[in-house]
Amino acid sequence: MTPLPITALALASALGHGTGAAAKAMRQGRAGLRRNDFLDSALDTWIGRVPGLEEAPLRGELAHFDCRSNRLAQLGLQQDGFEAAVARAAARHGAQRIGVFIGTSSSGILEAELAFRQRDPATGALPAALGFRETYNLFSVSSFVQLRLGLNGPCCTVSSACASSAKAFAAAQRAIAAGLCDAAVVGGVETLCFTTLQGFAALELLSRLPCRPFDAERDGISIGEAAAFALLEKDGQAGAGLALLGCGESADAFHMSTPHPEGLGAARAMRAALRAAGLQPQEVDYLNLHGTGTRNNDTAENAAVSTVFGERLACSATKGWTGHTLGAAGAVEAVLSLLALRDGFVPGTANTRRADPQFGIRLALETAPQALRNAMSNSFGFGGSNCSLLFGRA
Amino acid sequence: MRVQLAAQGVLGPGLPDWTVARAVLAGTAPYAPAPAPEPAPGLLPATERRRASASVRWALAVGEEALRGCGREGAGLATVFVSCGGDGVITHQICEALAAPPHAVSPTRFHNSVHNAPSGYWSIAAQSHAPSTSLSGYHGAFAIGLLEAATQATVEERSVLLVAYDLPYPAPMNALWPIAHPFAASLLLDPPAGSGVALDIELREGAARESWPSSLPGELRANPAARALELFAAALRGGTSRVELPYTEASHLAVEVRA
Repeated sequence: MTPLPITALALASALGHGTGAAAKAMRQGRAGLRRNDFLDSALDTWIGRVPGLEEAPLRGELAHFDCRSNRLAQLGLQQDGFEAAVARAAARHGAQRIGVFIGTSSSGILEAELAFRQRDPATGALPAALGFRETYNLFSVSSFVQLRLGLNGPCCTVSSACASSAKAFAAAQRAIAAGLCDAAVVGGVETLCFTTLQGFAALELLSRLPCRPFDAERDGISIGEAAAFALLEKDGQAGAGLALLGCGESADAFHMSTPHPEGLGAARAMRAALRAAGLQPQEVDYLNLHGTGTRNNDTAENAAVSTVFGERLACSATKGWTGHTLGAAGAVEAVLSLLALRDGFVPGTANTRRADPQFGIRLALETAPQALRNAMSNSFGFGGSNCSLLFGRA
Repeated sequence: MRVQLAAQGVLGPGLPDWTVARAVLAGTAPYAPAPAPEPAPGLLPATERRRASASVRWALAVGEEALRGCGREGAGLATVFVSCGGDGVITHQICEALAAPPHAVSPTRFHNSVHNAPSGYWSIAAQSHAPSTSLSGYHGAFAIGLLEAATQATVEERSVLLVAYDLPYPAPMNALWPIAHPFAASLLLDPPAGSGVALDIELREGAARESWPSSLPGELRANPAARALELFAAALRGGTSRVELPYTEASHLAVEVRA
């Protein structure tokens, strides 16, 4: 594919508001996880919570979209001058020529969870305040982002579990290649909710400590929430000259919640991204691993990465900084990979003390300066959904 | 953007398969109201079929019908799944479990709750490692899926199977989103060189002008997946006709159908 310029980035995560806060936290070694204090959840785990969402309701014309997911989306859009960059793109290309592609696995499900606590004891009815279209439905967040930005081009929610927002990049790239639009707001938005906290607890995949991806003693994930956005623009120009070079997607066809043990699907996705970009493995300088911190994921991913890249490539898993932001993870880690490219550093792997000695890949434990040519980001999800993104310069 | 419609599948009340739907849409048989038959996707092993939720069985059944219609295999075929509401039964069960002590969720129910569950089961059943995307839209969910599938067929120059499905929510959530009937449809789309009905697809500003087939019950139209029937009806009319499908509130897909 033709390199697709990326002209703006935005991020709100447990590392703080804005990409600058995230880069600074990684340089200074301050991870964003905290002991679980999400609403009244009693689970003994650590979470990557974005502070302030409880006190920041949506106001004005889009107030009926108010829910934690759309508050987080709004907070993300407000970072890093992103909305101004979209407005400039809209002035250049036209509002109907800019797409919106948002990945999420839960959107506003939290509102339904809370509403079920308040059912009418006599009739079982839900409180009238629960809006299907504006909050609970998966399309809510994409619709909110499109309306808030005043756009009217292609618009969809991609919901392929933890690969959702990585696959949103692939969908956006195709839409631009097909001539449906000239630019695209691509993002991932995922909030903490009880379904995912209790669901991963039921699968015995939640760590009781801050997650330690690829550590010999890793014992599960820490769930986080985040909103991350990128503006892709055909013929775009920006100072940093960042670009999407290739997307690779595959299906495991193996199991609903366990990756293929040798990472065959993951290797397929990474190879497809290299092929799309026309790059050789040795031209990639950094890989942001999916790296959840579960026994199975990291073992399978180690096998896949070793097969495709050998053992020379600098790798790290950033979920120890942000938590696993599930449907938003692809976009969050795309943004972190782009920051690494732009500022010239390899993010460390927070909380991990000793890489599993059975693994062959080169895991960066501490954040360190390094000039990078090209960077890949991996995202894998339930249902065996895999997506690898390759970033570099236009 | 142009793609070819190679085959399709249909499952809904009074429309148990494409053969019946074709006759109803072509006007050679009347619409006979009847509950949709229980889907039994042959691709899924019996044990998986029992474990899979209703929305997975509906999605897989119509996907298989399209494959049968053109004699193709699912292995290696890219897929796009689209649904507005996802799996309301599982959402209901999870929300109900979370609302009362011990606030615990069944692990199987949790992994089946992901929006891409039909995609996951399809990939396993068809042994397909090809890319699969799962999307959501609102009223315009079908058009959103169609645009993504057509875009993939065009840009990647490969065939794509589109599956659209939506099943009514159980009470009390059905009050939020009252669709009366379940419906699922599939379209196997080829790049323009393929044979079949040609679809010229364009995204346009403004609301869609409705063209619901008069032979079908009006309340079926509330199910976003049922919009596929408007395309199928146009294809059966022969010649060239135009269908407008709702996309977002402020836009629609204009589809020129050439039989």
